[in-house]
Amino acid sequence: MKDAQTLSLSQVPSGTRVRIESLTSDQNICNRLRELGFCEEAEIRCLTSGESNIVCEVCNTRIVLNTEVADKILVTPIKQELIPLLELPLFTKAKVNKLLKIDPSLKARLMEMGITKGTEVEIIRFAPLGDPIEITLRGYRLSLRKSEAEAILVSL
Amino acid sequence: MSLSTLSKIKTVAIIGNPNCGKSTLFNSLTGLKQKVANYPGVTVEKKIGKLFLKDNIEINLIDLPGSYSLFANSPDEEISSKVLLGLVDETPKPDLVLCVIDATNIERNLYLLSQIIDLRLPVILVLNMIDVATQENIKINKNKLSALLDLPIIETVAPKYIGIEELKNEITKVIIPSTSLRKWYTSNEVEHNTQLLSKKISISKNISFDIAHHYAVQLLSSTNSSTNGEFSKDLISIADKIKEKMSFLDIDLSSIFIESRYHWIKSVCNESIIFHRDDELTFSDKIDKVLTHKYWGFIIFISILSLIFQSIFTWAVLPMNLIGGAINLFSTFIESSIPTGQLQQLIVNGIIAGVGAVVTFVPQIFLLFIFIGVLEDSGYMSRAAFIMDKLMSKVGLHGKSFIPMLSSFACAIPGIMATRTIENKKDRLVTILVIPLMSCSARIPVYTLLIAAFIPQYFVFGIFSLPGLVMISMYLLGLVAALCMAWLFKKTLLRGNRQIFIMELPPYKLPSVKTLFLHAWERVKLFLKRAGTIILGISIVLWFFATYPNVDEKDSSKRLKNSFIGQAGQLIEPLIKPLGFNWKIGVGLITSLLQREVFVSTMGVIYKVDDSDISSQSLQENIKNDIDESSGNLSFTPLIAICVMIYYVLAMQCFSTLAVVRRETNSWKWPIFQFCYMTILAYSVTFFAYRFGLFLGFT
Repeated sequence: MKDAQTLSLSQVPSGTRVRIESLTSDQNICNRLRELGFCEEAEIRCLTSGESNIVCEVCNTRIVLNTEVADKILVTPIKQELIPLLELPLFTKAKVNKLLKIDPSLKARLMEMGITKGTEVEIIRFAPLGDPIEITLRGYRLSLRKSEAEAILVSL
Repeated sequence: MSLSTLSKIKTVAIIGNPNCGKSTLFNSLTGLKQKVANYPGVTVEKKIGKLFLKDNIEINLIDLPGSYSLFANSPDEEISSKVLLGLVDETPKPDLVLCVIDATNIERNLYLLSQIIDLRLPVILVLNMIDVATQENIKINKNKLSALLDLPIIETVAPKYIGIEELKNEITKVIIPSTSLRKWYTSNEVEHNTQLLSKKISISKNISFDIAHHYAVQLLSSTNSSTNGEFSKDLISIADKIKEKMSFLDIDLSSIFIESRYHWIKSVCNESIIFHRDDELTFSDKIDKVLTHKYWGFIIFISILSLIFQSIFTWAVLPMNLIGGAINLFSTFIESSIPTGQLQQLIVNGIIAGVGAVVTFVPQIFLLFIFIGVLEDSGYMSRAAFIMDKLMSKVGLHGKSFIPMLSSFACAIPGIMATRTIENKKDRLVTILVIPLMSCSARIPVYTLLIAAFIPQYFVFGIFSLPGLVMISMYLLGLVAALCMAWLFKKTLLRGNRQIFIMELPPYKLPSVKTLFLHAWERVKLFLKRAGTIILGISIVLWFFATYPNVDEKDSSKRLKNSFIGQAGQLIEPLIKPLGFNWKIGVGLITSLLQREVFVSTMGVIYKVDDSDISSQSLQENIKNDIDESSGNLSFTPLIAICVMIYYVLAMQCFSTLAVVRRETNSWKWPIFQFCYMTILAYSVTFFAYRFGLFLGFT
């Protein structure tokens, strides 16, 4: 079962939270990685995955790895994890999973604008002063305040 | 007689989401033959036009306000759904609905369509902006979509008149309107219970099953009781029982209907539309990268605003002068053609002077609405709200309140009219209430006269001139007062539920010139018609009080002093004494109740200067050297001059504004409240400023 899901860190789509299964580089690099927090069983999050390097969030710090190193880190994605929409990194697609208990008219409005379970959403940008945010869904752009977006939980 | 003259279609409604190009389509269909009015009891605009089809068939076309849903969230949406249900007085229930859909945003737009289909109204689907969709590689299988929805579909590009003739033909073809059935379904349990409730509603309200079903869905999905007013207790208790039953089954009725609709929509889209959206940035994205950028966004925003205000001040000057000149010519003409006497005086000094002064604002209003139209139709307005929302939310307002407030630096009237873009009723009211605190251009003559007379040309730190600083302080005082009052109103009088800020950011597009001009012209017409009638009445009254009872007095200064207004000025002297004002200023306060700038001409009359031009040196000298008869002191000191200015910043002295507020809020309650609170505010702030000044040792 483990093997079916195991992939290398470089194959992980950005925004995914993963658990480290094993490190397969040579000993020196492995130790260095462990010191940085890439231990076996540690949970990390891949923030952006690009052509040549990958940004991960490890123990609340951001670390850049090049793909050669990332290739040798085997991970399994942590499935069905609900995260608040606001914690989604920019330009990361996720599916709406749940709307928290909020003011009914607000909830109805959010849903009528298309934020229903299973809808793919993605944060495009934050307003210059940090609030509101702009998201894309169903092929159009919507802006909401953070206080409203807080009610939206998504899964990757 | 051809078949089409038998057509049963008399009234056609156009409905669609905001930003779907509905208004442009309406203009393309009706041309200039349209009427704008208000729906009874609300400030939602009712736009009706005439559509001419083959064989001289004439059809009434109603442009319904942009709506996302028929389960109303705003007054606009409420009107849309009421018109479709035939519940609005003087508006016939439409025989056919043109549902306009933005071809680039079909998924969300279909939500509204599904609600309209449910009402069993005959619908023609108008796929607008089909050119943009093609550009964006959205391939729509029109026949397939039409079959799935069971509706005729016409593709249009409204600003280029593409598809308009086809649409007209399609409307002509509909002889006996046919409707299509509801397409989406929920789970068996929910379906069964909803039908049960629908039958009950259908019987008790004596309406068709389909409309009853619409109400049943509304009743079952609402969790608060505010929407339940229209239903009898029996029905509500049945609905409550169903809700309870469903919650045992772990079914959330407040979301299942919306989800089921979207589920159906998704399947329709999957079968009929192919998106070739690559992850490349769209045109709008590229613009947004700059326009909502952390720094550039603000710089561009401020530049656009300053461009607008600059042009309102500079470009509008020429037409304003022309209108002013024409009014002068007209009044000289009247003066020479009507024998000297009271009638001549009434027409020249009362009617022409009063109404004329209002008419001169028309160019400013027209220009501002052209600019606001460009911002709105291009899609920039929602970006401006996006940028400014955080600041405005600090005082409890919506990002959209910012532009109307800034417009009010030019004139409060277009600013108040521009608040129509704010959907939330309470937010709109708060914005309207504080807008007149922003220093409008009518205050400039007052500031200029007093600053020139009393503030010495002195340079602070060698670069800032003192008169300039005083001028800026007056503007800032107005702005700060407006923000504070907005905060106060949101905290107390107009405390709303949690404010909802969910705003679509439509793709950028070029505004249609025709729509812009039509829109601005409608605004000007409204302004002239409604504000004009009230101004006319008040001008006459004010003229009467400023002239009588000593009509025959030749000396204008003495005539004013002994007129009703002059007497009133002396009467209120004890009241304004604490502010440092004497009766002469009192007369100025009363005459400028109608318009602030009248203060300058009143001072001119009182201080016996023939030409009450603000630049006139003699008026400044006279005011400066005037000695109060009773105390023997100077009646004006720099401190008093500043107090007068503060009073003018904060007081409501503009009947045109009050008239527009009354129009926009549909009652006298709010303008009267506004007048009272601003007068009290002005009085108390001036009082404290004066006392504080005396305390500091100024005299």
